Amino acid sequence: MVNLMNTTSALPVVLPLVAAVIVALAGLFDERLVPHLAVTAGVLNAAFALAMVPRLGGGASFRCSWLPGISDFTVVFDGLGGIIAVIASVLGALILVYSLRYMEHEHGKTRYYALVLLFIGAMSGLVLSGSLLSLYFFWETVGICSFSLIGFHYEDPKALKGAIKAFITTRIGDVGLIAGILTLYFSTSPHTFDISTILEHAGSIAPGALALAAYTMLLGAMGKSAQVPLHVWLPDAMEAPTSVSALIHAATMVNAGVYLVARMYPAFSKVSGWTSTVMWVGVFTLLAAAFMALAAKDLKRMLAYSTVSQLGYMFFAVGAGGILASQFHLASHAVFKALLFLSAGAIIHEAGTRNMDELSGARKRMPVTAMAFLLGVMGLSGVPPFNGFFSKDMVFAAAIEARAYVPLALAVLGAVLTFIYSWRAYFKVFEGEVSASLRHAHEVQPAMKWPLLVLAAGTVTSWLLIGVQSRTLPSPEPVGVAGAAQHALTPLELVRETLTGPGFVLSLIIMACGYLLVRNYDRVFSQMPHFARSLLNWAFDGFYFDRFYQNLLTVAGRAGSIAVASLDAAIVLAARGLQKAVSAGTSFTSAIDHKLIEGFGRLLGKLAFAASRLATFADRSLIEGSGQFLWKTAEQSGKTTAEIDEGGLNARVIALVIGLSVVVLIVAVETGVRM
Amino acid sequence: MSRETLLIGGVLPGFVAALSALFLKRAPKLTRTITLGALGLSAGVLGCLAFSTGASVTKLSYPWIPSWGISFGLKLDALSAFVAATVAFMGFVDLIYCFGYTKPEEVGSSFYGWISLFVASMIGVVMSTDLMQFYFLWELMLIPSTALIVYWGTGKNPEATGFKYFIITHVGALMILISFLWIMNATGTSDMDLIAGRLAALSPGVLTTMAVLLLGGFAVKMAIVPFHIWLPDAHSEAPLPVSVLLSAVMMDMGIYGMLRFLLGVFPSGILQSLSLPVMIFGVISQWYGGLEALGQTQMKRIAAYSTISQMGYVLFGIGSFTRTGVSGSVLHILNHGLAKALLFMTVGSVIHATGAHDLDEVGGLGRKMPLSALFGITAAFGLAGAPPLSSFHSEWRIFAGGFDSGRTTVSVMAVACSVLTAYYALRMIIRMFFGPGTGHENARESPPAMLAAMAVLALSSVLIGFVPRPLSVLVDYAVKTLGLGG
Repeated sequence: MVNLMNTTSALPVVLPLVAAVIVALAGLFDERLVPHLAVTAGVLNAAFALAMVPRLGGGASFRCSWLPGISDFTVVFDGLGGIIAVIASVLGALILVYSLRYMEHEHGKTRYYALVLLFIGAMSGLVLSGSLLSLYFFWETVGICSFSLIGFHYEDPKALKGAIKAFITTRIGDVGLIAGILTLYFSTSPHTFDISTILEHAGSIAPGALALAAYTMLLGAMGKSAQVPLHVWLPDAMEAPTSVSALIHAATMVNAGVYLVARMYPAFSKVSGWTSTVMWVGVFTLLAAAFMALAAKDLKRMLAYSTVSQLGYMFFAVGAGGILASQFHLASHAVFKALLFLSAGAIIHEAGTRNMDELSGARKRMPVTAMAFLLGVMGLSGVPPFNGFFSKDMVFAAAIEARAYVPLALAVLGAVLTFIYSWRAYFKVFEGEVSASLRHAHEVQPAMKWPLLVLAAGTVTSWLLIGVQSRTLPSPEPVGVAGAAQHALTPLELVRETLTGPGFVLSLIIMACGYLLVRNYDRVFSQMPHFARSLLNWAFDGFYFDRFYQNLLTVAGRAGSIAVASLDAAIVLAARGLQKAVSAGTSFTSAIDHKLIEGFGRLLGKLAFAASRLATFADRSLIEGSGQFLWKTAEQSGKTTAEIDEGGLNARVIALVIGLSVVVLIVAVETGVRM
Repeated sequence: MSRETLLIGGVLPGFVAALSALFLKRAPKLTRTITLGALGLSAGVLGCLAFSTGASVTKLSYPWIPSWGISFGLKLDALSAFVAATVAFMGFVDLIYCFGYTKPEEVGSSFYGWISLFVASMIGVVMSTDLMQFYFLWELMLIPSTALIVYWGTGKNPEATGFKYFIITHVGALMILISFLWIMNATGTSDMDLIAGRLAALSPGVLTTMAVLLLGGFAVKMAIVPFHIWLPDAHSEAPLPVSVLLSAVMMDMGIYGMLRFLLGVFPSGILQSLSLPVMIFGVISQWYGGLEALGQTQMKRIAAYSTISQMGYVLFGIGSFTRTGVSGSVLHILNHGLAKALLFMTVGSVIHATGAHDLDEVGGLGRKMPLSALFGITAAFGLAGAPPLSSFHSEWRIFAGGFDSGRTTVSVMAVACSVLTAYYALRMIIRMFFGPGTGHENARESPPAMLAAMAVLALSSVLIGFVPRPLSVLVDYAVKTLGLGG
């Protein structure tokens, strides 16, 4: 039974992945099957995930061999990752239902549903992984799903640009993440990717390595969670179908960074400056993105900036040590932001535009959608008793506890801005005269309405889950520290603590300021000093981050091409030099050939010739000469003897014999030389 | 059947098919089928052998030039089994692709004959037991590849390309030969199993020179910058199925050589002293190839330059001389093959459908060629080392090797290059298949054979990504044969 329980904890990962494969295969045969199959799988998965909730933190874990000797594939179902996996599964199911209608007339349904299911599985895998390596594996897999779904309308160049931008920007962060993971791996002994082991032995890791890992992994988290300055991809990711924006770019994937810093907090919190870096990254992001949301004219981009800003709050909370606060706000945000996106999607679906200047009076045509959006706004702006109120309050409380007053003041300012932009958006789009674009709009169909209603109910009730969440969250304190047990809260205690805590005063101030500013927005804006207005214009341009990166990329591209070109030139030069050297070498050798060898040859020849002449001469003069000499001598001697013995036969015979023998001698000498 | 018999059964079919092409000049289709069968048999047998090898060693050896003590043999251990099976598998898939891409009546029997000789000689190289045999087969491998480039090349001047390819890689081979002869002279043997033990007695200076010569020689084959000059032309102007073999398979020979002769033979002290320069050369190749790929518009050239970049990754992993890094490089032999073959095949699909070679002439083909587009995206993510594709498992190991060796700065530069890789690969695929169309109304999805080949590669990549266990075990054994079992 225990085994079965452990195996089922892997279901939120395995079931959607298998379903994605089945859906993709089914799509090959008949695309009409796909949506229903996908929805069935999604709902089934959500049911399993919800059934797992009571077992959260019960130590349910699943382990199978993945890379022997390096890392197993483990699933750890605790309050940190488990809650996010449940959110991903449940929201995923709702969004699949919503898509039945929303994606009805789109091409490429198989691609859409298979990718959404793959995403749900991979997202659960990311947060449930007990090993940093499989975490990274799923981390990139959700990135690929995000890329493919942003570029879903692949004939639209803007969608493609957004897709590439999203993948590449997060990849820059991922360089940091993998560097950090590998640093941790090699600085533990024995080497391990196992998260709980690393957290347990964080104290024995060399401080330098731990610091390196802490900061590089923060970079990865910032990329995924769109923290300034790596936030630029999220607004452009809004080219995705709105259902996808709701699921991936609002409620789940973008939380992965927050999850990562929260997960690694026990190990990294001791690295000097790390927590305050996380906090300041969050503060800077929440404020800058709130300004950008205030200035945005595109409904979806406004929501995207708002997501960036809310993720900033979660980073801020982690930095202040409020892990529970960050996770609590994460859950609230997932619910109300998905609701905002889905109701915005319904409006966009009907109106065919995202420009808020062209939208107004939607409430008269689509009351249910308007109500849903309004509830979402209440959650986002932190009106009691909506979930955003409780969670934001807990974030402030964490900051107060950490005595981080300056960041807290900025976060409060951010909350006022949040209040303004969210309510303004509501009034602009839903109240007033019906705009031309919405004249023929209709209320949403049941398949889209029900997910909205479920989420709307969630904005009022999701904070009741604080009991489970606070009870099952792993302790943020390093293991072994006394009194490390997590402070468990019941919903009642939460209400009491919230209403009596100092954060409540802040919330009241925020609401009062926000209310006054929203009511008098136009008056205030027209009297705004020049500086403030230019700040807003500046915010509209996204504080020039995009332009800066564009220029940076251009410069880097040029520098890169110059570097490559000069390397090329160097290689060409070297090749030419080599060629020249070779030809110089050959001409040198031919010169040697000509001058030296031939000359030497000629000399040798001449020498030989001379030698042969000498030999001839010697031959002639010596041998012939000596022969002649001998011959002449013989002749002479013959004559002489003849003269001596004139007329005498004997003398003539003797002379002949002597002459002949001389000839024989000469021949003998000649042949003897040859022999 | 004994493993010895199986071993011969794995190596021989390619040579037999090559021979048969000589006698079947009039029947190119039959030759094609025979070649496919032969490579399939080879791949099947070698694959089974590879997964059943473990730590065992199977060796056959026959005297070849007895007076010099040179033998000719086959040796199967985890490393050679893994690489040989990869080579045969890629050759087999490539031939499936040929069924759709090339017309037998146009290319003739000899095309298939050369291809199977090419693949068979590569398998032979990997199985060699003797230095001279290795060198012999190494050079033999050069002949069919040059012939394929020269006779069926698509560039303006295939003769010149083939000539350049032949001469430059031959220079590399000579560096290897010099080192081999020196080693034989110094150790008195050419048996690869014996030299390691005998080399240890030599002075470090001599050993370093030998190692550098070997590194240089194999780096030429791997097209490491600045020895890469032969590659862009040869890979982009060869006929496409040959580009696949050159890029996805032949580069592995350089890797195998480095692993077998550097890691397997030289004492670790010598290697450690070479580690940093080798890693730096790896990083330079990575970035250089990536930047060049980004600057090209011709699709095959992008794929070709990306090979230089990927070999930079592999060299980086080898250069770390750590167990993790080297195991990454070994695994990347297969994973790079999968991704790169898939990339080239996708390019081939586009060329097949449109006749265009340049990125500027294509666009928006995804609507007409959805499967090719899917495979193209898979290839791009594969090159980028993104999970859930198989290359992830090799790339993180390669990077991990860098961190393990303690050289953090170089390692971060190597990791950062994966951003560039993702960018140029995605850019290429997106310009080919997505965005606004640019004519080519008649473009059709590729024939089933081409799609089948691509599907095999893509599915293998995904499967290995999710279930890396069997390969991981095999690669661990392979690394152990190199004495890095640690």
